[in-house]
Amino acid sequence: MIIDPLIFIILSATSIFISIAFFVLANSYARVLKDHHDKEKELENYKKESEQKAIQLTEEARGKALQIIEEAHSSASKMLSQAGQLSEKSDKDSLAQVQSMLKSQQENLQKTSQELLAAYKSEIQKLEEENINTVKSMTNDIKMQSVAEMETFKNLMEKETVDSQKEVEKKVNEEYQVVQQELQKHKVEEFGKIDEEVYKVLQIISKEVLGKSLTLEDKEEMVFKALQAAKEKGDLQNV
Amino acid sequence: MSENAYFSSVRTVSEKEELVSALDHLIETTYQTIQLPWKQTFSKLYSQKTIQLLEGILQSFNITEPTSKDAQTFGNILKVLKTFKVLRLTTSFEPSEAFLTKLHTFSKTIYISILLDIIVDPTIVGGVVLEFEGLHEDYTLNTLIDMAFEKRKEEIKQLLG
Repeated sequence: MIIDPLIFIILSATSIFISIAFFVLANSYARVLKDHHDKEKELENYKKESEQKAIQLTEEARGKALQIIEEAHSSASKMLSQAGQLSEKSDKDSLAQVQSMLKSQQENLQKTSQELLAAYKSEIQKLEEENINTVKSMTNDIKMQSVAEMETFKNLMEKETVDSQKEVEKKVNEEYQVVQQELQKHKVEEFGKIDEEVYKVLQIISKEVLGKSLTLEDKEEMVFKALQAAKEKGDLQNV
Repeated sequence: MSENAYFSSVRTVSEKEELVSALDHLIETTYQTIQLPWKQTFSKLYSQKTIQLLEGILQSFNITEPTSKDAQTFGNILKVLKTFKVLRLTTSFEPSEAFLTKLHTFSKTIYISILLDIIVDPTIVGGVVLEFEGLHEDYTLNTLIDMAFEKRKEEIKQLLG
């Protein structure tokens, strides 16, 4: 089968155009994937940072709690020592009163220490929950954003591809029509030329056949009659 | 034989040209000191037809062997020959001697002092092209076929198509 050079060129140009479109599409898709990967990595880093921060806060809270307890112990020991010294000098009531006061203070300090520790724990837990919620929210946001971007990109590419296909199809159809018209014109011209050639060949053959079918006598008679006709017309006499 | 009778045998331009050449030669020989019989010399140089024409001319003027005093007579003959008109005929075949004579005889009814100039062209197929004193008439089959084809061109093309 012989393909018309013009149609071949159009098909080649269409293939090249579609290849370029697919290349651009693939390139864009790779870029979106890379963005998504980068964001995931960023999220991972943020998670790690949050965990480290929570651990650090816990450590700090525990350190502070221990410091307060130590300080309370130290204060209690000091007061007990002072009370010992007073016992030698004061009466039993005063000693009992002081001991009661010290016990009450010790209990208060323990209670305060426990409340503080609980408050720290609660704060850390709240912080952790907030971090988890933030991370979850970010993950969802990233996911939704990526999905939306992908959807937009997909729609855009679909639209571009369909538009390009329609445009190429339209162009190919137009070119095909032009080629068809040119072919038709060329066909008519060529047939015209062939007719003309056949006509000329027929004319030549007619002459050859007629020439060969004439005898020498026929030819002589034709010459003589022509001469007679010219004389009768009077053309030769008038010269 | 009348004075112009010897010219009636001169039918074509080529015959006339050879005769003119022979007459010029004859005039030259009349002035030569040593003279051979003219026929002995000329028969080697000219065609039988030209020799016969010269014989006829010399007989009509009662000349056996030309001398210098006959030069004037030959000069006059040459002048007469130059007055002949030429009818050019283009034919598709080489005419025979008999047909040439027939054509020349008929042509003399058109103009008495006439010579034929025959040109052979096979492409004209048949018939003749006449050229005489500026007149040009085409009676060829080639032209007739062309005209017939041209006239019925569309009809023929339709038959071909």
